[in-house]
Amino acid sequence: MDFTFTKEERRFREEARGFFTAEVGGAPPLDPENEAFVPKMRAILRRLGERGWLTMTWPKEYGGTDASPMYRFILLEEMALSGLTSSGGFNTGGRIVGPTLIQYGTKEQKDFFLPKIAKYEIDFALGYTEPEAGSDLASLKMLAVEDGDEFVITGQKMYNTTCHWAEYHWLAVRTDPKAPKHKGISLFMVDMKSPGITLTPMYAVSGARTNAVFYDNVRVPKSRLVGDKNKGFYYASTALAYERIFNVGMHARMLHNIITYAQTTKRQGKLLWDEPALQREIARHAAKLRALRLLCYKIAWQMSKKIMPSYEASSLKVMTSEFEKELVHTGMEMLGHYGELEAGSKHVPGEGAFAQGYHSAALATITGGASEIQRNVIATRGLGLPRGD
Amino acid sequence: MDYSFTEQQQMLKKAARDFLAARCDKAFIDRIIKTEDGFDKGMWKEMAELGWQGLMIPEEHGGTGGDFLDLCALLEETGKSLLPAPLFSTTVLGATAILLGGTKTQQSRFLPKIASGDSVFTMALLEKEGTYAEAAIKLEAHTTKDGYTLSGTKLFVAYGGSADYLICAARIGTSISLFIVDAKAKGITHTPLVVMSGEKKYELQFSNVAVPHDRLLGEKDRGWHLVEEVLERAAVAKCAEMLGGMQHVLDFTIDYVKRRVQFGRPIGSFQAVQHHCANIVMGIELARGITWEAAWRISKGMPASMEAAMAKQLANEAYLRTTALAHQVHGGIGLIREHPLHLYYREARTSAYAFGDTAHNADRVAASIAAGAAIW
Repeated sequence: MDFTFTKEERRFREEARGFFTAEVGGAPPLDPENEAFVPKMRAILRRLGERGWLTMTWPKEYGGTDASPMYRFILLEEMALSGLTSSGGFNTGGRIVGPTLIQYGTKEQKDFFLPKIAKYEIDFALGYTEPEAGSDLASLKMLAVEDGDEFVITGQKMYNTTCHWAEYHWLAVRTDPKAPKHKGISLFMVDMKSPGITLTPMYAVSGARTNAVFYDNVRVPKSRLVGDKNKGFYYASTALAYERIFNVGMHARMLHNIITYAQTTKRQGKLLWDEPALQREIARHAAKLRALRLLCYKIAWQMSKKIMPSYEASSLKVMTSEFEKELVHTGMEMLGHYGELEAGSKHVPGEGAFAQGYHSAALATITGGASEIQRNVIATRGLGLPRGD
Repeated sequence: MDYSFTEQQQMLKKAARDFLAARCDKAFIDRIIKTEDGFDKGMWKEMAELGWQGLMIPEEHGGTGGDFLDLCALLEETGKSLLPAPLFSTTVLGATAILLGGTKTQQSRFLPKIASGDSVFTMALLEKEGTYAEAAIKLEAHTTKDGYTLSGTKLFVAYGGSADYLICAARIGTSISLFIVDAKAKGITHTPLVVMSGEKKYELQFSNVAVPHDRLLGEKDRGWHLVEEVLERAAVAKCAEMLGGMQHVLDFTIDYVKRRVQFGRPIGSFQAVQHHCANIVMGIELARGITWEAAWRISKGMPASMEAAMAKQLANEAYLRTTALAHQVHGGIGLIREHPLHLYYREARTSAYAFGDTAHNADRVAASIAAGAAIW
């Protein structure tokens, strides 16, 4: 056993920290749910792309450096610690599309997309969920019909969060309605400017914009089909494996904010921190934070040993999202009436970060796979329990 | 970064699993915990031949010169089997105290006897308050011309009736000193406590128990510092033992829910049952990483008090939750004494108290944070 980073990994962490400090250090926290955040975040991603940091783990022949997943992990952890979101749908191109194309894409697709993804000239919006296909993704209905050199796509997607600014749609559609539901789905890369696509904005509890997306006879060239026809569900599930790098940098910031507030705020002549019940709750959070961080490192270590995590990623998803809710709960209980104040209000604590956390926490255990689904995965894939009917 | 055991540690664990599978089944545990000693002396000697008691003891003193991490790796296995034997108290408490605080003479006198399985050690620390606090130590040591006399009462002394030696914490005025005391010395009265788990525990009453000068362990009046060092290791080693226990409960629970059929299908196919099992898994994973990091840090001589206190909180929570949820999915059969589950349910409770309960360890973490320790 060894729980240290190598000298090179530590040096890279310093470098990454320097980068993010220069980008956001000292500035008020950027609210990821505010639309003004999108261009700022995209500019930062482009600068990461210029350094080659979005694609370090890619093979050399595709512009990467064959770096161990540990480096990507360190980068994302430092990003979250700096206060920038490390997810939120940003860089779907680098996180999901690129690795999938490297494995299954045609030469033409690789030549066209990979350099643009690497430099963050383009990004993709995930196009999976539909009104009738949420957790049961395989029952999606959006239909693609072959017509000469094209597919003609019609149907509706839901909660496709970055569709209003991403250049491409990473779209799962049904290409064989007669096949068993998992075996009739294909993946496409669709130009969002294609005629026939319309968006209806929807706003989440956090204020974040998401979209209902309508396809009306949208014509997509066959060259934009990913891999083999009808294997899309398989590609989409394996693509998620590339996404299994979690970190708890944001949680560390949340806990830090709670502690700082408790140690500097007096009520009835007494610091909030001096309440033993709060101290114990914070101590438990600190223990969990440390333990979760180690589990995150463990997955990064496994991946660097070419062991693809399966159920471990699901359990980490559940634990980190539920932990986020616990932290929010502690913070909100501690704040009392000040907890109801939102960013921009007079007297708002933490520049609105607490209220923002409360709103985002509602999403945490649902987006990216609801906790119930993740627990099913742990039980069936991890423990080998039989699937229910 | 490396989360794996070395090949040697894996071999040690495999040998332990084989030995325990052959020798430590439920019938054996049921029989042994009813005996006065609480362990099988023949088996204790065999364990010494396997090198268990001497695992952490240097070769010059008859041990195999392993480190703390090796010992934790072994305890994970004994925790799986609920091995009823004073292995923990002899190695983690006794040998550790002598390794950390003993003089050369004390080390060469006592360590070889631990390694050979000739001596059973334990620690006589807790008193009436039942807390791991310096102020709670009231047993007094008085200076005499030949050494000291000890008077007072110790509680919850593991294997206090069958041990050969006690590491005893005593108060001299305002400070604490440690002594290596013959457990059968004149003036000590042993009263067994009826404990819910397999580990035998005693009340020991000391009435003017004479202890010679050369049995002072570590520096006089600096005993509490040594106690804290031992407790830090004990908390982490206990976490490793608990990890083994909870993992084993998970294993036999999964096996059961795959086989048990109700409503025409295995109960493991019901989501309510699956989610209980998933919750067990997550609790164990959370406790596992931090336990091994703490053990690794200790074995490397790095500061680990924060990690130890964090690990114990999470291990307590995980073991208690694991056994409670395992009971829930086992239903009636798990409530019957013929079934092993109740032994783990009991063990989880007593382990949660050992070397600091959840609140004690939370307070330690909170105190570190208050003193400015970084949470990241």
